[in-house]
Amino acid sequence: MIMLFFLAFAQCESNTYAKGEAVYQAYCSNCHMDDGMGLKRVYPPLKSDYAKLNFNNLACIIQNGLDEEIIVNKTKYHLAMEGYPQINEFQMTNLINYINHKFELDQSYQSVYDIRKQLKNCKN
Amino acid sequence: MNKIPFLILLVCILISCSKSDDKLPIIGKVQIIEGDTIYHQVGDFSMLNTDSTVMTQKDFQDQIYLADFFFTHCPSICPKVTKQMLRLYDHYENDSRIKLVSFTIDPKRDDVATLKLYAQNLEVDPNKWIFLTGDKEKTLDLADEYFVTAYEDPDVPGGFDHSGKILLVDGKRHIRSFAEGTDPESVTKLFKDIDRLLDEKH
Repeated sequence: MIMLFFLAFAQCESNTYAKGEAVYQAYCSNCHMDDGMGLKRVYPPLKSDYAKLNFNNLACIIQNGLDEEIIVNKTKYHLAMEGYPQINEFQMTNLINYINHKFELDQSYQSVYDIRKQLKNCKN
Repeated sequence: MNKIPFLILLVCILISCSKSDDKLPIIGKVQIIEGDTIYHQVGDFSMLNTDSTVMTQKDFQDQIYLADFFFTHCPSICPKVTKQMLRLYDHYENDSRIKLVSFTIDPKRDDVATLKLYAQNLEVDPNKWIFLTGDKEKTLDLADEYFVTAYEDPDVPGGFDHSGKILLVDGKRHIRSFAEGTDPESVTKLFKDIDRLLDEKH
């Protein structure tokens, strides 16, 4: 019985970010790669000072894209990223939590209300 | 009883024979015209490299090369294919018998300057890994001859639908092997084919 409990718990634990990972695979991994390390000076890594600094703005960047030169881990990147307005706020919430967890950007858990608020106040 | 060692020997000889003669196949339609076997060859092109120099198929005569079709604004499969091209580049960086060629299918955005910057950002030598830009329609037709599906489709991300094949071309315009550039394991197999082609006596 205890074993069963742990098994169920482990199952639950391993699936926490599965939905976010699926969204990541569909929209992000092509350029940022499965490991989030990007590619040379073409696609920036997500495990970075830039993403950490902008963790409260990532949903906006993903929704609206980014077309300006940025400095990530001391390297300049200039290739524009297109926006993905087709990602809804629930998918976005899962995605942001997956990215924050996987690439160690932020330990807290963002709710769909947090993401909704962020998307309403996008600067870009 | 005595037959068994003999049989083993025979099998060994057969295996070693088939290996030494085991050339990579020539991919594509084979035609027999008046008794001559005609194999598929990739067509000619005339495109600009990152130094604005015109390059044609003649520049690749007797040169083994790996080819792919891509575009720098590609948000879908290209980056993963490029990552595998980079893997091949790193492995054969100091082997002059092999080059890499990337044809852009989006010349409107990928002009010489854009491709030059792209090569710089990939940190590769554009004389080893050559990026070519030219006429869009001609490049899409050329892709067809490399068995790469490529066409304009405003409904797909980036505006072009295309497959991510990496092709191995020998010095005689014959395609000898290919990999799915989105699949690292497929590219691992391609390494073996490249080495086999390099070992072939010309």
